[in-house]
Amino acid sequence: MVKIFVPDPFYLNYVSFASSTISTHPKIINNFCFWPYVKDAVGAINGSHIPASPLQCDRAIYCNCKGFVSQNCLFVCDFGMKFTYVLTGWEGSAMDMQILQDACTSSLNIPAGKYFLADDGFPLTPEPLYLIAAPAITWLSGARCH
Amino acid sequence: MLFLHLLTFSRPENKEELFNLWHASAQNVIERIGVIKCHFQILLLPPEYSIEVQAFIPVALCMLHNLITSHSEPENTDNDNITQDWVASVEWGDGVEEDTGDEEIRFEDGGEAEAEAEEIGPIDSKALCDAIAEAMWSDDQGHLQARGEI
Repeated sequence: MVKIFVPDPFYLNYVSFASSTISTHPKIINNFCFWPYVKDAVGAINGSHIPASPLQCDRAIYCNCKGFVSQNCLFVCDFGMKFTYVLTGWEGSAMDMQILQDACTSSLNIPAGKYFLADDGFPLTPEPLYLIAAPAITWLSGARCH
Repeated sequence: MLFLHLLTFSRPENKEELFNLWHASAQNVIERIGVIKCHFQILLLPPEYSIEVQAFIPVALCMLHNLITSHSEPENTDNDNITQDWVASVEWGDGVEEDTGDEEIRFEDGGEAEAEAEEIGPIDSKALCDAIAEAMWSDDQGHLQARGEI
């Protein structure tokens, strides 16, 4: 049943950048805090650990930094609260940046001049991917953090 | 993240703090991951399928989430409007109607800027962050001076 939803007809119709790249989302335009500063942002990106049960021989690499066995998934969400990209199946020990590199080399296509908002797990990368990272924890410690 | 800022509330003292405060609220949409984790409980416990099927599950559930979202009414529309109205009244005072015109002008400017960005091509991320932070800070200082708070 799960495999029915994953192939192209369903996935490409409902999980895609199509709607979010045409124009800036109204949530950005209508909020004076965001407009026009992040007008080229097409969404936010983050990794998340989903609990998994791999084979016994693979358990060690699926153990993550939080102390449980998981797969590390990369999610991209647009400002309309919809997911526009998902990459799953990476071992829990993989870092967010590794998954991002994999996504960039395989299927994550970002329109020219656009970027994602990200947290401190992602660096400010050169083109073709633009990220804006600002860790709130660093803000609390008073260091320069953007 | 925004909550942390509220706990230690004080007005941002430099452009980096202001940038991080606004960035945190803009980036909040990614908390949708937590929403689907609560919505679909299978994401909270390790399912006993093969690892290939386990990798398909979050993808399928994200697709279902998008399907449900696109076929249901927008969430918290009223609250969003109220919040925006409130924010607009606090920030702009009585001149909300006049500022609508300004926003339209800004939007046109933004369109031109986008076209320029496409022509230029690669952008230095660090320089972009600095430019955004600088613009936010100067605008914020301008608003504060207009309201006589500094």
